[in-house]
Amino acid sequence: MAVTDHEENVRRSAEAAKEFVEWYYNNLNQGKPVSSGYVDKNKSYQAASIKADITINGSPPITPEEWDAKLAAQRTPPAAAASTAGDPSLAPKVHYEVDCYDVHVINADYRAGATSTQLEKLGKPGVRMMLMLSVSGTVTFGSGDGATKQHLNDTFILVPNWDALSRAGSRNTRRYLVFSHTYRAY
Amino acid sequence: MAPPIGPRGGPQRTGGRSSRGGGISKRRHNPLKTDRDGDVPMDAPAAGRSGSGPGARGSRDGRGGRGLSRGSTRVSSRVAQNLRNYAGDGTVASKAQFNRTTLKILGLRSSKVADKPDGGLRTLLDFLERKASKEKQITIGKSILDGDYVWISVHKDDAQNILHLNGFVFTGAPLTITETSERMPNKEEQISKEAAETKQKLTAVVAKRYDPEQKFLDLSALGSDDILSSMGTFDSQNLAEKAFKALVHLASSSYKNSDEKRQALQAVSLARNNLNDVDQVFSLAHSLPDLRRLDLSGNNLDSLSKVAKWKYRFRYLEELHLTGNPMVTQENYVVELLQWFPSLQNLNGQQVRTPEQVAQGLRALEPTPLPQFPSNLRDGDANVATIFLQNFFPMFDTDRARLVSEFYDEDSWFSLAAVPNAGRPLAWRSYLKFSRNIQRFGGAGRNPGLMQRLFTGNNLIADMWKALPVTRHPGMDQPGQWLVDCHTFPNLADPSGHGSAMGLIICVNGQFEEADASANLFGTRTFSRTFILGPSKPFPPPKHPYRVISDQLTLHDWKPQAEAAVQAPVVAPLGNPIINPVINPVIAPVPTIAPVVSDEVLKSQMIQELSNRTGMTAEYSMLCLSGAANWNFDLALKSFEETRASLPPQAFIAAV
Repeated sequence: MAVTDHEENVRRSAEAAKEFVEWYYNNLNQGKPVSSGYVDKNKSYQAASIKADITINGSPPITPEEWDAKLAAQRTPPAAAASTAGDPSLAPKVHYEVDCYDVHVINADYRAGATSTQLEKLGKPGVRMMLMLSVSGTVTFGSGDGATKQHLNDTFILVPNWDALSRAGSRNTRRYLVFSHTYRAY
Repeated sequence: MAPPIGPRGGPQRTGGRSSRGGGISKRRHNPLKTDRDGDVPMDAPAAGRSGSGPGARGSRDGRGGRGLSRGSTRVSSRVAQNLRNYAGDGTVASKAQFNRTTLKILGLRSSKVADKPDGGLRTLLDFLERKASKEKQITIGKSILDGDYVWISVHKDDAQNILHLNGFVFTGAPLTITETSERMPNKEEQISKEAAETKQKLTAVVAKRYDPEQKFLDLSALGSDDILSSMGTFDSQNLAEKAFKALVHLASSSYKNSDEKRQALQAVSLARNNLNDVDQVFSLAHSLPDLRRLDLSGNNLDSLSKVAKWKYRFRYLEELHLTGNPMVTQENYVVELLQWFPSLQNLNGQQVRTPEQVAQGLRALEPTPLPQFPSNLRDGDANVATIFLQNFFPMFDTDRARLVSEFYDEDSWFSLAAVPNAGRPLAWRSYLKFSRNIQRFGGAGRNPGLMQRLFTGNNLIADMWKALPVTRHPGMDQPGQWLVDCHTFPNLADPSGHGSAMGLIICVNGQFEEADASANLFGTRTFSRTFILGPSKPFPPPKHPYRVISDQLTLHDWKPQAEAAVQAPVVAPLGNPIINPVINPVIAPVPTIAPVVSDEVLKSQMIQELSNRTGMTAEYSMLCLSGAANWNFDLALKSFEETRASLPPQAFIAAV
């Protein structure tokens, strides 16, 4: 039976979500930056002046770089800075555990930031998608007796990375980028 | 002659006994340096450590070790192997090799070379290779002497050439060579008896030196230990380190988990071991990272740098003894050590920090949650989100059918995901069959649940909602019950089919009460729900200018840690109906917003709100809220109603 456009959208959106979630939280857990996953760093979106909206625990919006910096500062409180300089394995841990995620296609014909060539090339269903992804899990701060836990609710709007999708064999680039990020851990 | 330590010896064995580098440096051989305590000389140059790699295991590994002398080489490498096994850092993996053929050879035992130290194996292998190599050089791979048989492994193309030698006479004994599909005896299995003995001895050492009452492992003066000495453990630096590692491993691996270990093993003494760098015993930091007391007294640590390898390890080390080491005469070493060991309170018997100071220091080392701000509503001048939510949740509680018909259309998407905590799935029965948790869907895109558990269009959504338990959400006007973040964004598809439209994303965190009468389940659930709103389609004429494009509900059990008696969040008890129309239940604020900053913000919002509603001054509003009401807005309002008559005139804002 032929796969409908709707089915293709659903299937592809789940794959995109999986790929994104794995990349994003792996990076967080390894203390790597995540700013490259936001539209701000992407040339096509820069050209279209499209920037991500990032709200952390209700804060006024910040940039992806500021988010990276916030995470780095959180991982290593000033008092612990000296003790971790030489050996990252000694760094206090902020660990993200994803329990659950779900994704919807909220615009199956997304076009912003793309060139007409890209739009043409990426005309198939399941590609030009604007996605709403909600992730829920647990954040653990520190380790051992002193560790505290919070519930995490991360909501993303993802949009296509036009450059990555229109280039063949670009496995290592993010295929969907964050256009909106609402973080709440409590 | 002094035995070299396995086949790795080469480059290190530059001189005679006195300069055997990292090899053997048993001090009592040197009359000038005799240590009267018989302490372990664990102080060979670090270069010696480079030889402790995989080479040590290989002297019997077929041809590799043939150039080296046998005999005691084998003994020490075997001890090394056994020790390594118990230190848990290297098992010889026997990989299956598909292009190899295994042959069994009988006859070596009755040959003239059978009484050689290696049982004549090497001579036989040389013989076979020489005789078989006619057209091309044939090399025998692995070989092992097991009982009467010699097992060899050769390339399958060479097998015939060797089988040809069947019946040949080797130093007076006829050889029987057969191909076999049996597995070659494993070296690990073969030496397991000796290994078991080694383990037994080491276990005896640990047992003798462990004091369960004091939770104390006494590894002091290991050099004078009879058992260890008799095992030849101190024949070399390398072995001594391995023995140490094995002992620590044995002592620390008998516990079910790290908690139990932390409880049972809190103190270790390494006193009088002639250590000149803790590098030699570094593994202690891995095996017992939570150690509380450590005795290093009477060693040879001559400067702070010789302890530096343990810098910032042993986070919970409270007591450290370094008396009798040259380093204690160094200036400022105490200051440094305090830096390196944040829990250190007692150094050489002197108190150097109070428990309070330690607690404070440890807290400062831990990462803390990000600051919490109140709801961030950026939904434009029309307050679309606020109005939408004020409509949405009361209708979801009372009239879902109408809610769907007003706000959803044939293109709306709804799904829910439930995150039950292990062990109590019963309480989640109403939800789990609908749960679209992609994390649980193997192979993401292909799972049928993706389609089945996605509800598209108002009709499907309405049907599905009928199956969900009855809910009651707190009023949107109750401060502290909700955390809502929302903002507008561009580039949704315009329902007219042309161009793009603005959308609104609303992320709601809150909790609701639930009654599933059919399953007799009642309780409170925490949830997150995210909506994407976009402009309504022009036809049929919509009730509202906007519609729900996407609605994702995530249900979870989350109790803020401070409130939970146990760490694991608890599912609401069965048969205890919290939904009770008579009593107005007080629902604890969901996020129990922890950081003081945001708390203050919330409080000031509550004060303002109470002041608006009652006409009281900010000061009296605050008094009212912070009193018996304990920042519960409804209670404060109630207490205001009750005491209104007795309030003095200055409690109220003067009428204009």
